[in-house]
Amino acid sequence: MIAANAPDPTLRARALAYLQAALGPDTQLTRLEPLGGGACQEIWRVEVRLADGAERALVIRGDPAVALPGSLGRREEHEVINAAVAAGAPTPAARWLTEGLLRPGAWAYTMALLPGVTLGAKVTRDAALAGAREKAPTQLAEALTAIHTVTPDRVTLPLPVPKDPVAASLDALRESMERLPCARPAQAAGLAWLLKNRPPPGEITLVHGDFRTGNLLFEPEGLTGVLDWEFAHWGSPLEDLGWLCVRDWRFGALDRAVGGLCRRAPFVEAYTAASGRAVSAQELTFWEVYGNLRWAAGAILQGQRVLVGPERDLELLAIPWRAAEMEYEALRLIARQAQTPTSAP
Amino acid sequence: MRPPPDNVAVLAAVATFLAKELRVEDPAQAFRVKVAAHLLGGVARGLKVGEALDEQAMGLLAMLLNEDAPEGPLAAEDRARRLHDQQARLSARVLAGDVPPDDETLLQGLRALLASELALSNPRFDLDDQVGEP
Repeated sequence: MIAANAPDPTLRARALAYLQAALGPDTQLTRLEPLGGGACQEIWRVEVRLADGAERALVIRGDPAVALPGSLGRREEHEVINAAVAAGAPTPAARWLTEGLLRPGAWAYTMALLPGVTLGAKVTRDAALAGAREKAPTQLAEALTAIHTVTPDRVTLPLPVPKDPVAASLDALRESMERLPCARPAQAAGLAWLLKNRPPPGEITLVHGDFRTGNLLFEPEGLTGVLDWEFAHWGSPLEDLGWLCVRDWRFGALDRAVGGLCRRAPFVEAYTAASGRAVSAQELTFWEVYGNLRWAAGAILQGQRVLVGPERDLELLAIPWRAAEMEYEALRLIARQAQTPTSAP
Repeated sequence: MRPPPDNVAVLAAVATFLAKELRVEDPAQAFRVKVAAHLLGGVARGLKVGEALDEQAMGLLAMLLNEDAPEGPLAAEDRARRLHDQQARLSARVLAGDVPPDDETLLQGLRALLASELALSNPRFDLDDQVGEP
């Protein structure tokens, strides 16, 4: 059955040929429809029937017409995902990289469509997922640990290796802030504080770059998948920890700082146990402040973007207003650290 | 002059209708209806108290910049221009290191500034210092 909003017949024929090349000449394409997802992705939901009658649910992810600044193309993302899979990260493998399937010049790959829930409000509050939230500190820590075992001295990826990962992240933040339509003094104060309180460069690992509630797939048994790798980069592993604690990912569960799933202490403890990395409260605060500012600037820039389709206009309009929330949280964290006696140099 | 309801009352009523009364089956559509209600609510609050909050923000920024507040009320366009200018100058000053980023007066003033912005965009935002702690 083909949905009412099915693509043009040319795409259907191309998709069928692509899938038959990958899965066998007798493969049938039983479903092909756009999947609502990130605004910066072109995603198709696919169902196939194999020669032996088995059904498979898949997702084809392709390069969008307009990519978000700083995001990877599918070709690079494909390599990053498979490096993470090889390192044991719970993420579906990216298969059958191809060019021109969805649009001339656009790369695409396919992955298994996993069951589960990503929606923030459900993940943080649905009673059916209470068991998953209980396991969250350990499972999030183990997933991040696996990702952070991928290092540039052991794995070659099509990503620039920074000399100083902290400086590179701060440069990226400054560049975002310079593109804002109006200066935001709270962000300026936040950046100045980050520059003043920066930790030493430290180690460089693969950083997922958008590891947060909304991009994590849960079933009642626990975390089943880490999705959306388009912001992956070489950087400081602790950047991923701070990003997960950004206030916007708590979806009303404000007391659970770690993505609305759990408190900081058990998560950091589990991460240290799994990875062997000690994480001080100061370092976590540094990367939390960084994450909140990155999203504050990003939220304003998202509203500035050329809108990709009429069905997303409304959401993009509402996003810039959230910037003040993350700015407030960044300043709250800074004021709190200033009051903590152990933060004295 | 047109009889009541005024613009604020109409927007608030439509926002309430969208948020509380309208039943939409499709979850994606239902989410977008919520976003629409949120946006209209923000516009209604802006019409009602935006001017007063702008005045408050200009006062706070003048205090942080150590300069005099403007005399008398400004027209909407002049307010926007002045706020834009004040924010740019304060940002430049902070980044140049003229004010330490953890200066208590600066942090308090900026948080008050953001609180007045949040009163428009998200009045339910929890300003409590202990949110998410420990």
